[in-house]
Amino acid sequence: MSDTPRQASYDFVVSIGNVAFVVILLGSFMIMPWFGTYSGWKLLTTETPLNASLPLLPVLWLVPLALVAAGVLLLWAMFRPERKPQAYRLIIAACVVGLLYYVLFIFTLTQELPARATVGIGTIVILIGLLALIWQMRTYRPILVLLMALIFALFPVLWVISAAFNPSGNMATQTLIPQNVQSIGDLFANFNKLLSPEAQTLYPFWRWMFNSLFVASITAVLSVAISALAAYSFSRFRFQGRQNLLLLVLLIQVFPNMLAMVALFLILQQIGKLSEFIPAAIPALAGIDWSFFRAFGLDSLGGLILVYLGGALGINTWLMKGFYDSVPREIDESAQVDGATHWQTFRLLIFPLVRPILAVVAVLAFVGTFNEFVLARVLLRSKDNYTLMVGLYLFVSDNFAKDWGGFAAGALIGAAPIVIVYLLLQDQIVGGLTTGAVKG
Amino acid sequence: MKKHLVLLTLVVLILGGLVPAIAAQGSGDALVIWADDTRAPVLVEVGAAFTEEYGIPVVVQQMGFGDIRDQLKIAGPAGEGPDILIGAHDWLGELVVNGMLAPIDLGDRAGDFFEPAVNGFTYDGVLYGMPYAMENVAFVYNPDLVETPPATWAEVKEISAALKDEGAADYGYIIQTNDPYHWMPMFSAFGGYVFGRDPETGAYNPADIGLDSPGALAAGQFLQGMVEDGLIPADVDYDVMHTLFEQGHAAMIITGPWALPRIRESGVPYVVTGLPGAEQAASPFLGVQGFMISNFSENQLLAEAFLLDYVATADVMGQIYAADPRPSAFLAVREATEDEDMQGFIAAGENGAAMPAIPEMASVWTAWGGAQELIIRQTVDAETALTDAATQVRTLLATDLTGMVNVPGSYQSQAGCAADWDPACAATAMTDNGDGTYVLTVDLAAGDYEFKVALDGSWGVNYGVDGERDGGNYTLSLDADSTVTFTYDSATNVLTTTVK
Amino acid sequence: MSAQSTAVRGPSGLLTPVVQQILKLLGLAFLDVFGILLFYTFWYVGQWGLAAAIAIITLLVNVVVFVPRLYPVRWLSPGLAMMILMVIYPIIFTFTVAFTNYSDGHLYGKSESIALHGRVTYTPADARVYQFEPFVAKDDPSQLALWLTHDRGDGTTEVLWARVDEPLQPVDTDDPTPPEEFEGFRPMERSELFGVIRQLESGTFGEGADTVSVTSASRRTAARAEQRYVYDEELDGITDRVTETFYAADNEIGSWIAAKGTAEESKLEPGFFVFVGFTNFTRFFSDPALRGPLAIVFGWTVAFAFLSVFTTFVLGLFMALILNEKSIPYRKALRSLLIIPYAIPAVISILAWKGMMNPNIGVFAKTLGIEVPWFSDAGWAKIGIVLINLWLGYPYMMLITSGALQSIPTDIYEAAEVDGAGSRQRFWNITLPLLLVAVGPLLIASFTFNFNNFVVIEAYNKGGPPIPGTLTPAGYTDILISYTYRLAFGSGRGADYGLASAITIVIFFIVATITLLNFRFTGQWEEVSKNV
Repeated sequence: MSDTPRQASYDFVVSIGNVAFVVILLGSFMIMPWFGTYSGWKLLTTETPLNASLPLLPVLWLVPLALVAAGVLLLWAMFRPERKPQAYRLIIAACVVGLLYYVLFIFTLTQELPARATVGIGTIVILIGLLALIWQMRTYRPILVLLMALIFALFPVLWVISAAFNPSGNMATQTLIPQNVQSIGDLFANFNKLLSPEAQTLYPFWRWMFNSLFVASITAVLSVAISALAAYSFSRFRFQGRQNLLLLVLLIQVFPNMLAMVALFLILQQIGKLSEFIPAAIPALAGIDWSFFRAFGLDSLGGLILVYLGGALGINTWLMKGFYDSVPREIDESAQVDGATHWQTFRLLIFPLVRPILAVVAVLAFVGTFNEFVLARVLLRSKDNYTLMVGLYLFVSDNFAKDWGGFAAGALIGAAPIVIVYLLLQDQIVGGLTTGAVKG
Repeated sequence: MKKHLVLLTLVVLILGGLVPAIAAQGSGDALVIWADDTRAPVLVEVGAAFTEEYGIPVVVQQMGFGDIRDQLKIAGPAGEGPDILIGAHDWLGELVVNGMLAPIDLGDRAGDFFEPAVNGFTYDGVLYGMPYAMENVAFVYNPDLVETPPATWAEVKEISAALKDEGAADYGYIIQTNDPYHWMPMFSAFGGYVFGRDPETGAYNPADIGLDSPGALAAGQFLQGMVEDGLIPADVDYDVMHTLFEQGHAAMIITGPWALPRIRESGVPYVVTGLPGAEQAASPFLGVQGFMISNFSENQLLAEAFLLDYVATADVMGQIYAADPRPSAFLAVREATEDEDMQGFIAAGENGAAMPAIPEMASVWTAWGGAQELIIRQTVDAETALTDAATQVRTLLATDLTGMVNVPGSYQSQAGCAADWDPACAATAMTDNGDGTYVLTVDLAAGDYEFKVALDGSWGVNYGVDGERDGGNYTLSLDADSTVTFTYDSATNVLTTTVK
Repeated sequence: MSAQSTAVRGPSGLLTPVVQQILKLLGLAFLDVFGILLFYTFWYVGQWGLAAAIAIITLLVNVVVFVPRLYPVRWLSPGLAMMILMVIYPIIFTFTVAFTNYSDGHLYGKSESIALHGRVTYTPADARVYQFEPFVAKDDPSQLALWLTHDRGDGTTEVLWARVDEPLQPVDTDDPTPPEEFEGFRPMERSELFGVIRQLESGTFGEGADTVSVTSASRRTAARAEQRYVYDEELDGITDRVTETFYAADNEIGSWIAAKGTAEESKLEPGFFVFVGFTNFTRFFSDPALRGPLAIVFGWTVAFAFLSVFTTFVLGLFMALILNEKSIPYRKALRSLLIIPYAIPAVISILAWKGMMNPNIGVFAKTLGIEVPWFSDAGWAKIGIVLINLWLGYPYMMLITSGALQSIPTDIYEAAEVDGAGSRQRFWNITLPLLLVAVGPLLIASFTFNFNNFVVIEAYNKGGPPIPGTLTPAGYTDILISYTYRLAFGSGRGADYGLASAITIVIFFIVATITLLNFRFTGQWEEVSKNV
């Protein structure tokens, strides 16, 4: 890489920068006394603001040692360019150790720490430096980005997890490591509230979980089916009003219909009452048991599914149509020349090719219904019919005394099926790429 | 084969999910109760006893406390509502206006209940609920940090300042940034009020809005003073307030009985006591919770009998108290309450006034809370914040600005308006001198300005130079920062400008 | 590729078209019978709206099956049917409500309101209040009677025997204690009483003008009950027989009003809803209170929606692209981890964010010592909410883009590589344009969704920090829908659904216009995709 003189000098500058960085790192670690009360040096030599129970002091010596080692290595690498990658790796390791130290420092600090800002700045310096270092190594760039994305994605989740294990049941109090935990029992107090057999009468958690899975999976399967058919039509046929219909589908689904729940409530009520209405309206049919209508009325999962299916023809249809459009039409034309019907074309030729998008839509529909609660809360009445979200809302509906701990615990367990479904469907989503089947 | 198995599983699943709904019998024959999950277990137990004795099924449907009201409005008119519901007295205005509640006659049993609680459930002279609990905020302090509870707000300020100086705690007294419910004790101690009351009947008068009364302004200025001294932080919500208190960073808070479990659990030392006063004793909002009977119920007699004969007993009321301790509205339980904390809450509520149940209250919260937030964030001074809030409430209630005289112009954003040329900006509304002239004083930076006069908060009627309708803009050039006084004469429609 | 080959045509199956045809007709017949059954039933019970919806759906299915030209619509019909019933019907409902004064105090139709008032009874001042003891016939548990006692006040007690539809019968005794048996009836046990309360509630004892009803089962009181509010059709008003006040119906505003225009004016609540034409719309546009800081709010709404879509799309696409690289280890696990923000309910994750951001106790302030005014400063609050919305929304974008990426044929890349296009060029020239074909409409939809993203705004800071000096309460992060709904539900008139619906419709038209413009602007509307 360092063939050209320009490249070589660039590398040299970079290397100097790196050495400077490590020096600053070490400096900031040792120098901090001038900024605040607690410095790395003081921490190692005299008193400790850390929890006394953590016997970490010997380990902490590794930090300055690692940093010194990193500096030496860097200097050495400056004159041995071919050794650079190895040196970099070691430096990065040193920085990670430094970072761990800071993280440790931050999260085990006793509360009153005047040097907070110093620590904070130290952390940020290390982080930025670390990122810059890794960024120089092209192959690691994607990993670096992914790492940052992971931190961004999961850091708030850590708080939710912490809330789930925190017996005090509120969100703001969270330290990452739950405080006021006296026993293992405390740690699982929130889960116990949901999962223990005694709790099931008040909060039938497993019943809710089943209901949610039931509603979400049926809705997902049916909306994928509905959407897949519709998208085929939009993609393969040219009929009058097609564009308007497409646009209508999009616009109608974004109508901010806050009053919809009143209307839907009435619809489901009437559907449920059909079991009484039909015998009344047509006495001749009174002999038949019409009570299955109740399975689609108010306070029924069937009714809820019906309501959710109203949204099946929507944005997702557009997504599918876009995907279908990319499947060359020659494929179905040749099939139809051979005498295949549209149905056969769709089922045997198109369907296998568009699996990725079907899986995506399935995930979207599943997650959407699994976490929906605005409608479900109005349409479901009895505790045994609640979906998970409606049930969990019982914990936090009080004006002040909200139990976020219970909610967090339930939400975490509830997130598991979603992640699992995604994990299972992933091969379908990305699988299309490897087959390379989409060729004209 | 595999496909068939999948199909079979699917069918079984579908049936498994749908059958319970079919099997569930319509609840027409049962007494249906809507309760939140704190009260529900108690009622389930009572209901079971009731069912056993009389063979009448009792169905307790559990839902969030606040959801009960919202859902009643959807389900009630459709005939799907409950027979009995649990709720708060301040829902009455909304529910009664919608004809959703049936009156309850406690008869001679009325004597079993705490009178203010019964009064809370009385709307327009009719009783609509059987109360079970009261709630109000009290003063809670950390005895390790505060030796004697402050009797006045001035003392609260002193203690806060002392604690901060000593470094014993980060904060003395803290308050939520945007939560007027918890601000009310301070607000009322200085004489502030929300709606005036009819001296005879005690009913709230929505025409008398007290957010900008002298007492309210005094309360606002006191709060502002504490903020300016660095004693009160911003960005505090209920959770943050409690966290700071429970971790010992704050010494004094105002909170309600619902918070007792978490305070106790935190292990922080605390004492619940009466509220500090100022010009007068603090008057927190009293809330009453109780059972109501739906007007759509076909079982009103039964519901009433259930409540009076089964729920209004020392035993059941005691259970309700135990499930979620707050001062009971049932005298036998109330008087037997030995818990010191609860007595603290009872003491703090002595001088309280029932939270207004009139529908107009809905327009108050956001405006009032906004004023509190603006004061604590030091965006504007207390007087401006509260006057604006009062104007906002009046606007919401009247929804028209007839009578407003305004000077919209290019200076308005300097004067606290959100934008220039806004004829409806409350900050530049002129004050009526009572003699046909109106006046407005603003501080402006050096520069060139243009403006007009607009009436009734809109451009519909506006006057320009020389009082000409729809005329040209007035102009003003200031060489230095000045105080400008606009005077408008409604006889000539001319605006005169004096610069100091 | 020509339009000819895809011309609409019916299915021409290879196997037994006759059998297929018959099956099709049988299925349709079944659907039709079902549809007609529902239609008739709903019609019968007076649910016109639902009946119409069912009729439309049934007709649609039939037309689509029988008109060959509409063959393509057949593929859409399951989705369309569900949409008509569960989406369009409620939207029509909202549209209707927008032209009424449907609000607190006006939730019922006029006849319902009359019926509701008609249920109220009162005990006339001259009526006696009796204590009762319930009796039941020994041989017929459905026959009930009351043993009524009334203390005359002079130490004597009047005793009456009351049965349904028979005159009240004085009992010649001074002893109020009910006998063990009376005319073949026996006193009920306490436990029995509760079982028949429902029967007592609807029953009237006695005959003619001299009747009693049970007023309280708990206190065992019974008295003559009369209807308190009586509606007079000719005068079109309700008379309160207790106060002798006449409340005339005001069919303009849907209220029962007495002494209108005088100082004693009073209303009988609840009133009823009436059609008020465009009043709600004119109120929205002309009311200075509603105009308030609308411009600021609107500006932020557009900015918020745009920024939300832009940031989530960029991050989501980026993630999808990186995770498309086969060189990345643990791709499956990483993808699943990155999707977690989507799996956790927004309410709690927003709360977690708020906790982290709080300047007093949040993790940023506490550990890094950096106090950012996330909630008090208008600018930072906006940044904060976009950041949170990015966190909430990028997994969705990642999902749809990773799906859509699969539609881009690999051979195009190969060809481009041969032409010497770098990875950056390949992205800008191939990936992005092709991706936008599939995803573009979803971005527009996402824009409209965020335009009305009430939940996030409310959960973050309730629209705050407040804008000082406004005529109606508004905050810097308020979007159109949060601001206007607050006006519709937080004003002194209680919840005003009519106004809220009108606002919804206005916002819908704004959003629809923006959407249409977007389509034209981006060319989505034209058939971009000519099969690549």
